[in-house]
Amino acid sequence: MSSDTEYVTLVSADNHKFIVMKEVAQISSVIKSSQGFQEGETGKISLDMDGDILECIVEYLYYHYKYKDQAETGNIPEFNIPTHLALELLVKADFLDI
Amino acid sequence: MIPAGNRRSKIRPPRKSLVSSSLESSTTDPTVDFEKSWSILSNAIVQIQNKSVSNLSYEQLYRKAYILVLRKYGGKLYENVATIITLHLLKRRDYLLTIYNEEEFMKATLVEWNEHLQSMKFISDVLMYLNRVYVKEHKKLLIYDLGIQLFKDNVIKYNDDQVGKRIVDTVIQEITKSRNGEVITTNMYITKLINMLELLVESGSGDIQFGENYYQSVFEPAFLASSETFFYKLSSEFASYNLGTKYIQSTSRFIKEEEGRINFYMPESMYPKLNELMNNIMIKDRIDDILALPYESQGLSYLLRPVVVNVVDGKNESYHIPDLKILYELIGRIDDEYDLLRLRLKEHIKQQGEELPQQVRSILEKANGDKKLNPALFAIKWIETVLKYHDEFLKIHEQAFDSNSSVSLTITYAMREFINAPPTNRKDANSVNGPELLSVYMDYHIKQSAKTAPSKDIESLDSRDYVDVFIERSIKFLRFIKDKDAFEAYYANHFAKRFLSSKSGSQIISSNNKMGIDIEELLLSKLGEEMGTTSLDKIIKMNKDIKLSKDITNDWKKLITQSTKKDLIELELKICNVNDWPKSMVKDYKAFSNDENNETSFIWSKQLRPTIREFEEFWFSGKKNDNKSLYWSPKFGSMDLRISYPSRTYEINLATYAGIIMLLFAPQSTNADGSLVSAFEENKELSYEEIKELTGIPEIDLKRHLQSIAVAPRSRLLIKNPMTKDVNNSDKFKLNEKFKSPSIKVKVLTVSAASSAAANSSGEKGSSKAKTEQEEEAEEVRSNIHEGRKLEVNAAIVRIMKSRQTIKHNELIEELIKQLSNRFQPSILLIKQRIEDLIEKEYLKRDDEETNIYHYIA
Repeated sequence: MSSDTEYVTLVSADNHKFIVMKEVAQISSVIKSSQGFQEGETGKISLDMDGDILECIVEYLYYHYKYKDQAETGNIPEFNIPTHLALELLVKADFLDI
Repeated sequence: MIPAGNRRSKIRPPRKSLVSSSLESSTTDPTVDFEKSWSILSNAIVQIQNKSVSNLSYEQLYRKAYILVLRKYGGKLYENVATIITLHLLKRRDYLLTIYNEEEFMKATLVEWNEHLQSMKFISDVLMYLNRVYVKEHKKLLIYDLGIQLFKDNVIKYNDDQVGKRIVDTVIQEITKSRNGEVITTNMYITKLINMLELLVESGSGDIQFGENYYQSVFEPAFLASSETFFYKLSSEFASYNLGTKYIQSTSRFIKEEEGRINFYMPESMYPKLNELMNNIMIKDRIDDILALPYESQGLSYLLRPVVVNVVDGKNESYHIPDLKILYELIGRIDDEYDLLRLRLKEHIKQQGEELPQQVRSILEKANGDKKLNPALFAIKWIETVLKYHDEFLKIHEQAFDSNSSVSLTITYAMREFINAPPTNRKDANSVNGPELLSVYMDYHIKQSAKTAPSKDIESLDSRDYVDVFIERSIKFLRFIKDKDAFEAYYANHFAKRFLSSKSGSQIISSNNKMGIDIEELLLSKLGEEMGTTSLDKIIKMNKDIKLSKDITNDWKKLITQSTKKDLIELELKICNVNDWPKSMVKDYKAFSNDENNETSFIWSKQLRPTIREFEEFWFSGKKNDNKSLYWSPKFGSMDLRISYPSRTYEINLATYAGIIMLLFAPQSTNADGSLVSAFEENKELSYEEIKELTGIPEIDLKRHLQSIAVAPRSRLLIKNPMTKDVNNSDKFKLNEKFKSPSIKVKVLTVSAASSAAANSSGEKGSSKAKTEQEEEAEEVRSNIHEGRKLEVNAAIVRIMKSRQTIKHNELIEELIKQLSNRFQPSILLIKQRIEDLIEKEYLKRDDEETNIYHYIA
């Protein structure tokens, strides 16, 4: 099983591939759950979203991963979201349960 | 903007953008077809249940469910999922019921359960969005929990708990097998099945409490009920052996195994319940019967028997430590305080203790043959036996009873009870007077240590040890005695006797005596530590008298060596203050005084009179003795006489009375050259009546002492005519020319009052009279004790009243018992009498209205 590998590939609807640390990707419980299925075997997860959105999401995942331990203190930089993507991101975040 | 800290943004997207975005993103049909999506999802669920998960694309399934939820198909989806799972489970249930082998059934059930859980996990993953949105909003069970519910309802409880009952029965069966000692192979299944049952939470309908699980609601009651039956059966089986040790051993072993079983199979919550059940049935309901089993059936009496055997017969049987230990542990399981054990122990100790006097007596009688039992020997043996008994019991206590402090208290209390047997039983051969016997014991040892000390100077260390040991034992025994006042009275009596009858004169004996006094002082200080010095007041004063007497003796010695008067005799003085010495000894102190115009007044020998006169002068000249009067008591003490018999000259030590009698036979006349004629030349013969007249010795004593010097074979200083055992009024006496003794020093032992009386019994009533003398003395000691108690109670009442002024009857009694209990056990009757007495004497009065209230009258 390739689920032991440390990276997963997230594929956007317009076929952009993002290779993300599994640990980071699994912040999304949807991605985490998918590991028991076919996606776990292929290491590839196709997502129904555009590349720019997915890019932003991956950025957020890393941002979240990096600062997760400091969340309590509040002493962390703000995460910038391109305004035009905001609404779309909101929907996708809900979808991925981030 | 999503704040960074808020990891899970639950913000629901605005409907408008949602529609547009999902329309945009959904590549196929814009109008969502529920049936189509559902058929994909239901297929996937079936595949999951068939364990072929890896062919499924999660993202697609998830998105299907997501969209259905967004489209408000959540409820329908939820119901469909429940239905499809139910159908699946019913099939699995049918499969389970085709298995007949119990072990296989257990195994298969677990397989089904685990697979169901696994598939439920995947299903719940797929339906995550349903969980997150629909379930939460409608407060339904999460999909996973729904799966467990469905398993419970459609597998376990379906058709009147068909599968559930079978699981419960099977598990109980297996555990019962294990209890019966069979090795079972289903250990892991049992544990896991029980875990499963615990997960099956009741949904909270009907009379079942919400949150209770199947284990609690079904398994536990069934298991406890079957356990109860089993325990009953087992304990009656154990009991049917009718053998105490076997019962406790088997029970203890079973309990240990059962504990292991419970901990292995059951959740923690079971332990206290089953443990209580087990303890109640197997220990609490039975143990008292087991303890009460007779000796042959090895009840407690059997377990404790070796103590008496070892102590009394000096054997070395091993104690039933392991069994006693088991017993202690078993009882500890049902009672932290060990009440039952302590109660029964107490009874047994009491019973065994009450046997001890008889046992000791019979051993001594065996050793002594037919001879009469020496009371002192009995006292010694009994006290040592009792102390040894205590020691042995403490061994058991330490080894078997975990040195439990409350048990040790019980042992002490139980021993106290038999040592302080109530006086009503005293006439009984098996009852003993603890305080008196302790005093006898101490008396014996004090005398004994005085005897051995000088002859073995090298071993003085040993004799030290001997003294220490016996003092230590005495004090130990004293702690068991409740009536300390009685002990004091007896001790005072013995103390006085020791002093008054101590014989001195020769150097050895006086050093001997000193040693004796040392012991007395040592003992006094120890007793003082133990009981407080105020209660020993009298004995301490007596001791002071003894010291004073010694000083005066020395002073007198100095005086006579300086004096010109030749006819003064050395005196060993014992001057006692009548107030402090036991009444039984000093009551008739005035009877012998010369100035009393008494018919039977005692006449001192003329050889002694100058000394007595001179000493009285000397004594009254002392500054301290201004207001005191001095009385002589010839019934105590002894004399040293040097008598020249034809065979040789002997130094004879004999009682004062006997000495006075002998002095009658001393030569009175002088030869022509002024020297004394030999007594044998004079060959005086005196009749009993003459002796009586010349000495004024009371008749009973006179006969006794005449027996000592004229009948007793080893000290026959006089010849009695006719030569008979008893002394009659018509007898005549003269010096025994043929008197012979192996050593120069002769000690005349005074015939005891009892045996003198026995010898005279043929003749007169004197017998009964003499016999009562000892009893009289005992009686007096007893009445002394009684009088002393009256005073103490009075004093205590006044003390209490003074501080309280007003008190209720019951409180007063309570307080009195509390205050007096370390001295003696006051009877309620005595207390009531004393209260009446004090009311009469107007120390207190009853309340005018409430008669049970007393007021103190200052």
